[in-house]
Amino acid sequence: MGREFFAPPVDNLMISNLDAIFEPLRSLSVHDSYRHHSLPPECIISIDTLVDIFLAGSWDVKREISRNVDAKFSFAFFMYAQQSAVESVRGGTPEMLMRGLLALAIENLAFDCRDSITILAQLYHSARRFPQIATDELFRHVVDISCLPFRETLEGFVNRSDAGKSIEVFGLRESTPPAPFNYETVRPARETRAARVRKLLQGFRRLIPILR
Amino acid sequence: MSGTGCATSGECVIYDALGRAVEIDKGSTKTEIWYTQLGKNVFMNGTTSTNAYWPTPADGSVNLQGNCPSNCNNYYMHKDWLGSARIVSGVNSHADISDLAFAPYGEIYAQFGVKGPADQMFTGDTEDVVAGTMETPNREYNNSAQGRWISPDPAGAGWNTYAYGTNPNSEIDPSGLIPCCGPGGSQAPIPTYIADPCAPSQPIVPPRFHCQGLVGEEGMDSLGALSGQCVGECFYQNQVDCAFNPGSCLNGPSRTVGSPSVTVTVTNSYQGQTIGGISTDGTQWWYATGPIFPITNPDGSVGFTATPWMPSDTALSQGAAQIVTQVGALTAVPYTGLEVAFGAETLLLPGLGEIGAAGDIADYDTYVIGRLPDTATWEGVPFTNVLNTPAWDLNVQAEWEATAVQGGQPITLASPITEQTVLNPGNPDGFSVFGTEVSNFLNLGYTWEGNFLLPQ
Repeated sequence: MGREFFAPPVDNLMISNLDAIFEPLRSLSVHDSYRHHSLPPECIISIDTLVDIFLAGSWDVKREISRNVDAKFSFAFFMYAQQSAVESVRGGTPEMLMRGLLALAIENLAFDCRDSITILAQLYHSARRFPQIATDELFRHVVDISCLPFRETLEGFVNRSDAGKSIEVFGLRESTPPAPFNYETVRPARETRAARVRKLLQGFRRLIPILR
Repeated sequence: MSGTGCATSGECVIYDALGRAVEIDKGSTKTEIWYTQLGKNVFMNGTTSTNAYWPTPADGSVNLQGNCPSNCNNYYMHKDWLGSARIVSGVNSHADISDLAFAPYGEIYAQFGVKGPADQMFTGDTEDVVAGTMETPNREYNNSAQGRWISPDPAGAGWNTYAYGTNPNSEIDPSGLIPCCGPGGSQAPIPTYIADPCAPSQPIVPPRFHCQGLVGEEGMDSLGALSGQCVGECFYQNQVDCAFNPGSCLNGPSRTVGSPSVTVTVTNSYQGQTIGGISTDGTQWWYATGPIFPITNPDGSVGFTATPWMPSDTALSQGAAQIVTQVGALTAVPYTGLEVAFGAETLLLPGLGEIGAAGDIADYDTYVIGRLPDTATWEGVPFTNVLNTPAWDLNVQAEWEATAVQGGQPITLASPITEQTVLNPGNPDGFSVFGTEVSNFLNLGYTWEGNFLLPQ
């Protein structure tokens, strides 16, 4: 009998706990996260837990987890994945790359696949810094355990040329030493971040109080 | 103040804890207003009901005017997508009582018959206290002053605290506190002062409604007598009103800006009135018209058509169609007939590829940006250009944006501009890809107007 017809009890147990696990994420504010550039510890724990469940869970569990993701708090998974790309290099812990990829798999393109791809490029770039890792194999492994539509996007990314996967084509570069390893945005010289914020401010003043 | 004092000084208004007017005292006349979960429900004069509203299907309502059941007149309030009762007709008489045409911010620019203060007019509000101002729980809206409240926003939000919402075609403000995502009119819940009546970040989708046979149903649309059937699909932005006004395109995404300069005027063939016009060079923009479309007339000549933004319902009901005339440097090609108004889409859409010449409508596609789940709904909509490729990267994006900018194309926003959509703290610069898109266009001189970014 297939799992579709008789889900094992462990699946039910996992699914029944999802609401509680997602709770800290649902109350997360993009406004605060933008300002503090970090996730609250309880949200990191939530995503850690979700990643573990996603990795161990059946397809039903994976789908159920992704169904609970709302575009309103997708950014938490982006932040988690992006931090995974950075921290894996800083700490020499390549296993974090897998967690970052799984966080994106859970987010499952709820927000915008272009934002996911931008972070995929960072994870890929970080993975290439570990000579012991077969980067494409790692990404293909995540393809195998991901659900659509992310699965298709990830596969498409892996199949790109090396140039197409580079962080440069996504407007990113590594930060310059002695600053700690990080990714930063490359902008034309004439356009500083302050200038961008000023421009956005003209249009978003009413909607984005943090830019005031 | 005594009733006499109220009469001497004007009138006295008593408000409840939610800020709703519950009694209006004009000395000899005292009007009490009752509310239910559906909003404003009954006007009473002592023990006599003067106006009561019964909800009807499709967000309409019936106004029971007078002391029912023995001595009253019943009127259908025919509401548009914002809840504005544009036509009031007698339930028993089957006659039009009043017919109002509203400008975007509620100004009545054409009127047939006599409107009553209790008619659920612009966005379903009524003129309870002062004629010419619409009553909301928190402040009065002067619809004749084109988007101005008569008092500032109680929260002091925004740089212009007297301004109505920036997109009156899709938003309503039943509370007087915050533009909300209609429809609803009087059916919309009355928010408390701290509640946010708007649902968070709804995508802006291209309406693609079939007319669903509503045209021609009694009481639904006076045009039904002319068309007798539902014509075509509604492809364009805000064309949610197709049952009421087939062929209308409100702020359509195919607004043409750039060269060559073509000026089109749209006139009403029945009365010969100029309803509006548009110039492709951007020097004029009359909000009475939607996009310009080239068409092939039955005689083989080429014409242009634009649909009136808000046609005179009265004139149309009497048999009017539209004449679309090219003026200026181009030879006038008038064409009269209902088929133009309704047939523009069916004539034009299959013929899009046949036009082919430089400067034709295909060169004026609107570019749609937004989060991909939102822009996906625009794919396949005529005259729109959506970037959705698996090979996406910033170079591809930049080339696409450059094409739009070089052509002076307007940009349609498929996603609302909110914190939720433009920020992404997971990106090193803190902005989502959509936020970066918007930022790029603003940097290139575009200005944000409602659901559009428009070139200078």
